[in-house]
Amino acid sequence: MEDSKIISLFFERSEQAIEELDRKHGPAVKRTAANILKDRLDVEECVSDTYLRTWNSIPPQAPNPLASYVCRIAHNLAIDRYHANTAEKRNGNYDLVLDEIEECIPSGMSVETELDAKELGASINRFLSSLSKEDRFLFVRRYWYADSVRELAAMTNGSPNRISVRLFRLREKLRNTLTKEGLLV
Amino acid sequence: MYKSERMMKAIGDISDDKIEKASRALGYQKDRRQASRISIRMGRLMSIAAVVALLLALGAVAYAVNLFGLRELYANPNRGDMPEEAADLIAIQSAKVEGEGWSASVQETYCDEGTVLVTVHVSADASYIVVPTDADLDSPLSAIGLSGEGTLREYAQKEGKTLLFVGANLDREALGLHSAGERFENASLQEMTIYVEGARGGAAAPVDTVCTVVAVAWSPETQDPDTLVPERRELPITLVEGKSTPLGLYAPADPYALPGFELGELSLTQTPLGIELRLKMSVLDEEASRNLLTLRLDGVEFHGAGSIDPNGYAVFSQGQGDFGNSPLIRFLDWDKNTISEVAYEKIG
Repeated sequence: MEDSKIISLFFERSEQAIEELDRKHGPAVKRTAANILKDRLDVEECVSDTYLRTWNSIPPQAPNPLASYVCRIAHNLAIDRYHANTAEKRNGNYDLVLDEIEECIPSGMSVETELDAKELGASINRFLSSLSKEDRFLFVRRYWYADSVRELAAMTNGSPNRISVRLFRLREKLRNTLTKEGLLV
Repeated sequence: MYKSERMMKAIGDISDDKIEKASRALGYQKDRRQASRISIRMGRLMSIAAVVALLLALGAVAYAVNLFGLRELYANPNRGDMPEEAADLIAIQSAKVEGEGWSASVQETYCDEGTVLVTVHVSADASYIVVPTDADLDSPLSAIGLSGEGTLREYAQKEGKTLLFVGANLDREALGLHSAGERFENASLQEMTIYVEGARGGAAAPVDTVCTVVAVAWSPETQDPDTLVPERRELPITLVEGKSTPLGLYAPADPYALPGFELGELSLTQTPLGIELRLKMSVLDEEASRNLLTLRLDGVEFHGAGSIDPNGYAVFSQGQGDFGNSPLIRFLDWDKNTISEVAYEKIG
């Protein structure tokens, strides 16, 4: 079913909207949550919460594209749940993603304020726009969707080692950009 | 808040269009696999002058009635068909192993200085659905060559079957592989051919080696993923390395033309699948060396991404084209801009 028809179902307050949303975008939502959370029940709850939030927000919103809208909700909910979980319940893959991203901040520097964090977001968007299509894909898949290096290798028909090197260079490039823009103090 | 958390918060604000584009790429691999499936089958079907119309209904089993040979699986639109000289070197193998309700056998192999190709046929009993190891429970049915809505998990539940995830690996160390990939083609729900392609670094090929098949049976409704136990079976294979012909040994006009590196000898070899390039390189400046993404040999198109070991050799294989009398190599950075061009002169 087309996204616009699913949105219409939400506007009609038809429960079929959730069924159609799950049918079309459920795999992406589940994968987004499962890449961040380890526990299967946590993933299921995160997916349910995502659908509930979508139900509560459409209307008034009519998001286009719908896929990134629901994936973003799942992503944010999964991260909140990740931080609320105890260490034993945390997902090793996502721990690795956090470790990697910390490399982008030179030692001794930090992002001090909420305002800085917002500017940081804008800067990262500019940085992504400057990348080639392939590099942008790798960065977003690794650090937004938290896909594993092995999955990325399979998606791009490359070797995990090559992907790791490429991600390393992207992080380095980001670090240079952020330092140049004075966002790290 | 930790530094990484602030960064992740900022990354969480990546714009919708970028998220959306990367999301669509979730189906990247599956789409591409479907495309290659069609092209391979079309080639096969045309070669036997047959026409098969496939009308795929929801979850319906509709497989083309053909098995996949190494020659068909090698061919793709980028590199075309396998050269006849290489096809003549395909060896038929016979090793077979048994697992719990499944079996696997090596079908065909090919080996030269730069490439190893192996096909493995997997067959399972009717309680299983054989699934590529790179699929997951939420993969669409196209992962096993079916059309229609729904996921593998739903389909297995509907059919009352267990998913059997299967993959095959070559002995990377023994064969000197710097990269290897698999492709999967289901011939039915219980039959699949795995095509393994490895790029070699030019080490001498062992005559006898093994291909390891790994299978994991999973009934998602009743089995927790933590309790799954993979079965590993080794298939002995005997390789015969195809003859390669040296095309020349070359020295760089300026060994220091590429910032951060000292360039050494370039050797070009004609293998049955095409030209193989091996270039000696040593890192002089770690920082500057990170600028290098890849290289291009003027006049020659190589297959795949090749491999660059910054303190060893750059190796590219299956090249097609003509590099002339004085090979010219262009080194590219991560934005695919040329960092430097280096001319090579023949020394042997």
